[in-house]
Amino acid sequence: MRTSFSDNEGHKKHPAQRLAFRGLLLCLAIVFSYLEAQLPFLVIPIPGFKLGFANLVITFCAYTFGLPDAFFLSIARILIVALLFGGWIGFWFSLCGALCSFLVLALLLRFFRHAVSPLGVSAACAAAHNIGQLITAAVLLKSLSVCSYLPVLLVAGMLTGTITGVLVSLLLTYVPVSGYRSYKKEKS
Amino acid sequence: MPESRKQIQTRTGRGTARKLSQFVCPGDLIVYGILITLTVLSVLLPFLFSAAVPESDEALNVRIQCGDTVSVYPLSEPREIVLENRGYTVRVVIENASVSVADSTCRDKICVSSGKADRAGEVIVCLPAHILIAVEGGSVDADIILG
Repeated sequence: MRTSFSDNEGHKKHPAQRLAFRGLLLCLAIVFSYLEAQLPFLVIPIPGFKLGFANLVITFCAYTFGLPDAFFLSIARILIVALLFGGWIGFWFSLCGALCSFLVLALLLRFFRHAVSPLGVSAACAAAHNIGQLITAAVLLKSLSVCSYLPVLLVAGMLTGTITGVLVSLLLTYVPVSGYRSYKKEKS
Repeated sequence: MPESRKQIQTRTGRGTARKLSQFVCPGDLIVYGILITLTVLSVLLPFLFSAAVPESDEALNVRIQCGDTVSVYPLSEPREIVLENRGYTVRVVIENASVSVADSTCRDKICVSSGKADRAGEVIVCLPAHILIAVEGGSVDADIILG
């Protein structure tokens, strides 16, 4: 049997371990955000079309360590990325996107945990993220004209969400985290 | 021991198709269904909306929203407008009954690559500079250039 790389039960006894693993995930999320911004060939020249690898870390965290951790991870990532690389416009875009995305993530994981796999969760989150960004754009520009962009963003969200969803599925299968409750129904 | 060996055999004996199906839940189809429905709806809505608006042969105008100031120019008269907002300079050109962003100091240059807008409802946006350029009036065309 493989030893798990972290222990949910152990984290309650050892706060430092808990802190270390969340810090690790936060670092990963920030590095993914940075890489995405730095590699222009990764960004397909459609505005708003990002691969969203940071979401991979957030979704993985939500599945393994629970929703509250994922929420703080998400907010902390956006704050740090805004302070380090981006401006405050980017901050509002990310924040609104992340809040919409987290809302969908929380709803799906809370009520449909066994009905929807990471694939669907991730696709829905990515679409919600894009819708959140569109709302920010509409508020910033004080115009509803940007809504004509909605279909493209929805399709983009579905595609990128599916890619991250497959990766999350693989991670959950091959990275052992003890104390993790599988989304799959356990066969008795 | 034979029992555990049996388990190992059944585990390794699974095909790729079986593995794929492990990742997908029935609920996923519902999620994708909802997303596709939303996409189709968002494509169809402008169509339904434009059908309700009676067509007219009004001359087309270019409405430029630069920060909080809005200015309107006729699309038929050629002219060049230099906009400055939030530290960015955006040069807008109206010629041959179409409007386009000739160049911009913003980072991504999405506004420049949006190309020309010449039909009512088309919009060119430069997000960093908070500039929105919209073609208005005339008959509403269902085709919308996104950007």
